[in-house]
Amino acid sequence: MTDQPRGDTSPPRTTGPPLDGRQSALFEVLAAKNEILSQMYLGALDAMGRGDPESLVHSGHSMRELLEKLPVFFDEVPQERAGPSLKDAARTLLDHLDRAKRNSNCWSDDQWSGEIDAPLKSLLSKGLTKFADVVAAMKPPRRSERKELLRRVDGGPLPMPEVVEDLRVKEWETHAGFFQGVSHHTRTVQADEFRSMMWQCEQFLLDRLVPRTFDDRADIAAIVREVERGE
Amino acid sequence: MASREDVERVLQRVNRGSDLAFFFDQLTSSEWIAALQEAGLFSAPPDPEIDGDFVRYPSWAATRYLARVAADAPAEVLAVLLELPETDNPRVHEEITEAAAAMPAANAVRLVPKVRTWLDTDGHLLLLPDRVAELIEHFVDSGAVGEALHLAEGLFGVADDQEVDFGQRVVTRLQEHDYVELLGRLAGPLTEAGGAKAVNLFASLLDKVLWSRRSDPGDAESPFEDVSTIWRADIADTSNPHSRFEPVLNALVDASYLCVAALEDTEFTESVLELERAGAKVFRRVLLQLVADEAGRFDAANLRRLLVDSEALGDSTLELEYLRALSASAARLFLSDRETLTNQVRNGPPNREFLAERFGDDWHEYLRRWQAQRLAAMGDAVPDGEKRWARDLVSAFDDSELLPSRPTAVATWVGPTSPRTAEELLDTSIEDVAAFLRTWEPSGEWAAPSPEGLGRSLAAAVVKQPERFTERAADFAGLEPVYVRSLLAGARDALNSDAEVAWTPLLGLCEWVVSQDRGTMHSNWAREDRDPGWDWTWTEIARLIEQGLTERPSRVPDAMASRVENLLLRLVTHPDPTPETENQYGGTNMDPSSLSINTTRGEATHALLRFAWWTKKVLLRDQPSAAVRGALERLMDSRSEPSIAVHSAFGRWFGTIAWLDRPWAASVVGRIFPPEPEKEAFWWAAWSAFVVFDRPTTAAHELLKDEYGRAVNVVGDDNETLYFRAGRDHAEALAGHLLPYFVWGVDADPKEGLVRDLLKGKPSLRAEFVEQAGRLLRDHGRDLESDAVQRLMGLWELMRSTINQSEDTSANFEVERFSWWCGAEVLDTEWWLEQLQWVLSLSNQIDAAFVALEALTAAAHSDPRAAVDILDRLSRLRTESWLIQGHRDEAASVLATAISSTDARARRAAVRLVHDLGAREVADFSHLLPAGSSPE
Repeated sequence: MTDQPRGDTSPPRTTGPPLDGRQSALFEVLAAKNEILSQMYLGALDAMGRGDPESLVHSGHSMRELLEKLPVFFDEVPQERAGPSLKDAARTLLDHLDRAKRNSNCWSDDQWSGEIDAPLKSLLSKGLTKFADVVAAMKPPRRSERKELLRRVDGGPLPMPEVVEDLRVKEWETHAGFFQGVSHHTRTVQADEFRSMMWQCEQFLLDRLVPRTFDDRADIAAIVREVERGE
Repeated sequence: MASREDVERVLQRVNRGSDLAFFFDQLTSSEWIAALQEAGLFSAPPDPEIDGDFVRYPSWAATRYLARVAADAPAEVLAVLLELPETDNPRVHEEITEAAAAMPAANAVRLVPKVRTWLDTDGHLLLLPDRVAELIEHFVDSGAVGEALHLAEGLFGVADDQEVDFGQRVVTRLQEHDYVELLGRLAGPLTEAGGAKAVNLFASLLDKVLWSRRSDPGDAESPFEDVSTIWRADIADTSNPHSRFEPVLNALVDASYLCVAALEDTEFTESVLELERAGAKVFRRVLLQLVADEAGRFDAANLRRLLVDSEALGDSTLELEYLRALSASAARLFLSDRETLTNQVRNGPPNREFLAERFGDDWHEYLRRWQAQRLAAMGDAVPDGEKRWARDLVSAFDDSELLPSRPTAVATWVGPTSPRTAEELLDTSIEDVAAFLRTWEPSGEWAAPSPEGLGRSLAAAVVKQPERFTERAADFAGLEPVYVRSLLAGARDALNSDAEVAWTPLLGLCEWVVSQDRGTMHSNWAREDRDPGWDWTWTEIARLIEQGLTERPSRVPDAMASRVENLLLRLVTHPDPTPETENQYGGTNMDPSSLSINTTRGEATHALLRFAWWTKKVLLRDQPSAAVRGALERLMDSRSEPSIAVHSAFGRWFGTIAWLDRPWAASVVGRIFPPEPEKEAFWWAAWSAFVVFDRPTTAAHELLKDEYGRAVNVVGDDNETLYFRAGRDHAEALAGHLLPYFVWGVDADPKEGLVRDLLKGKPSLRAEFVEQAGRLLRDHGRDLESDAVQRLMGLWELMRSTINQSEDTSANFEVERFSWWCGAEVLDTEWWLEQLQWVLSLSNQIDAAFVALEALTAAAHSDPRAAVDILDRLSRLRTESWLIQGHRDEAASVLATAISSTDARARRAAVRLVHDLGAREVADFSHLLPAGSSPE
């Protein structure tokens, strides 16, 4: 199986809000990858157009989900591994720590000192070691997951330099952060600002998933001409 | 000056790695360097990409750019290059070296340590040697000689431990061809700039190789033997090293020899002394040739050291160059040296005792010639007291006998030679030919004319005048077997060209042969190049008769059937192949079917089966005689015939056996294809011969249904490789039988019979079936009944449905062969497009993807959307990375058709694919994009 969007094989859409050309292109490429993605996108657009008090929150939630789930539907992007959560592991570690503080002679005056005794040894060998194992088994950081996805959708023979890759991940994080803030009610936005961010996010995704190679290159060539020849 | 903001503007439009490469390739000004470096775009040269057994070395647009602007901004470029992180990518090393060659030498020398390290350590050098050669030339032109020589040492380095096996080429870091070309190109300029240091470099490289390859590794004697006369017959012959046995060694000799001669006098003398100190004997030859060419540049003391030396005088490996040197410089020797030399000549070679023993009676003649050659080379420089002796001795030989020469030491074996050519035999009467064959005796020397060689001339003569020779076949009775066999072989070859032969005398000769004692006549037959006895002639008789049993006019006359029958019945009693023969030549060496036609009884069995066919087909008899049938039944029965090679003949002829007498064939199926496990080898021998060489027929299907079923089950078994050799493949051959049965409707029900077995059998067999079906549909679909086409489509859909229901789709090789169906005119385009889409959704590799792509060009007119989708999928096949590049016209045609279609979604998909192919650097089809089009 290949891992790239497959162009235009999805069935025509029969429900949902009206889409313009850009939106249709993004909808189709998401649908070609997985219908769940295209439905999230459609839901975000639908909510954005409702105009009720919570519509932007709901729309932001759908977009946040879309951005988070995107790597899931691309083959070979490493996903979360099974095992206890970081929160549970931290809680267990704290239990070990409390026990050690209570029982160890090495803990006094808010400091550790002296030779390692059995309670402290238990904290080190069991508590900390187990915690380290859980951390090691955690899913890769979201940042590297996103970086990996960017590499998958690049598809070309030449890898993007890390400095440029970091710029793109940062863009992604900006979009994800914005929609998360809106969906958690920690960020208040006006409809215009939201629509503007939505447009930018759509463009970001389109640039990744529906290349406009020769348009981009025409722009690049124009900048080079402008700088070198003052055109 | 480009600013950081300019770079940021560009990066906003860079969505893929290929966009960044495009940007770099657009740049022509060095004014971007600072801003690009500040943006970190020179910080990550691409490493080699390893994919299984393959490695790819990506080019880096950043270093390509730096190489382009290095001449304009050398200091800036150098600063960037010195700070680049290391990479193992030789492509990047090439580009950096190219940049170094473009900047002033004063800057470039700072990159020399890096370049030298890459030369010494890069696993693959790619074009780095060419770039380094340009850098060396640049340094030479700029006077940076030390750096030039340092790089040359790395460029022309040789492995420390050379293999010493004869014929083993010198191991160099460069490809042999590149080594010779670059050394030829750089030796002159390096010598001109570096003088003796350059010559010493070439000489030391050569000496190093020869030292490690010396014939006796423990022998530290100097000069040591380097067998240079084998790989360099004549030092003065500086023709193309590529045409020589050891190109690298010869290129180094050329560099040493030609470059010394080009030195100024002071350095010339220095280099001569250096070459004298070198260990390999070839340097002595180089020095002597230099004396011959440049005698005036050697003083008398040097000449004495080189020429007045009894060892050199008698060393045959130095002889050619020594005599030339002596001829050119003897007059420049002091009189006392000339007297010493003349005395040495009079005394003869230092190893005269050995030579006297070796030459025996010819020793004195050899000595006289040896002395005359050296005295002739001295000419007037022979001291007066010895002049008369010298003149008398020299005048006893022709000038041509005394010229220094050495035959090129290249031995080529051209096969047995003959004392008479075929043309000479054709110009001789048959009586005289026979008399010559009877009386001629070979000398027995190596490569001298031999009986086998004479036999081949005879066979060639018979092919040209078959009737003349065969009419007098009786004259050849009583001759050596090799000549009789050759006469028969010539007659067979003539028959093969439809020429007439005189069968009556030929058969008479054959009858005479089989009446002879078959015992070995010549114990030393192999060395004497003769036949050991009559056995090979028996085989040739079988072949001759088989060739004559045709419907053509040149066939065996009908009236001679009984004589032929008797001969064949005699031939099938021959003991070859014995079990020992079969063990030695069969098994993993040769499959039974091939062995059968290389053994007497095997070949005779083929001839007897052909005779059985001939009696019915040509003589119009109902059946072969009881004697023939009895012989055949004995030969096909593993209880009486132990050879599986002989047994294989019955598989090969099974269709004929069925045609001769179907009930008889039915009664012997179990003998030919024995079901017993302990007779498995006989089954395989017969089956492999049948399925490969015989055609599927309804009769064969009826009689061998169980055998086909068994074959379907065992295809792919480990031991089938013993029976399917020389490019033959069981699955391919078996599919070639099953397909016609299916197409004819003889065995076409998926629920039973062979089709059921096929569907449940090995994927490799189904894959062959699918491919052959596709080829049939594409090439001969119009000749098929429509229900046959429908049946094939139905079977494919059944396979598809089975695969869809299975959990593991990884081993369904038949899927990968569907491409052969694409574009078949008898198939509905929509149908095969849909099947292909399914195939490509299942597998990321397909066989013959180009067939599918070619078929898409027409299909795009009826379903442009599906065609574009398939083109997209084809462009992503892992195993077909060059498919689109290799079939640009077809891909462009599909895209152009879709872009101009009335289907808006197809148009949009095509535009997107054009951009996508560009982004992935697969191909640039931007010229197809309509103005103002957008992938959105």
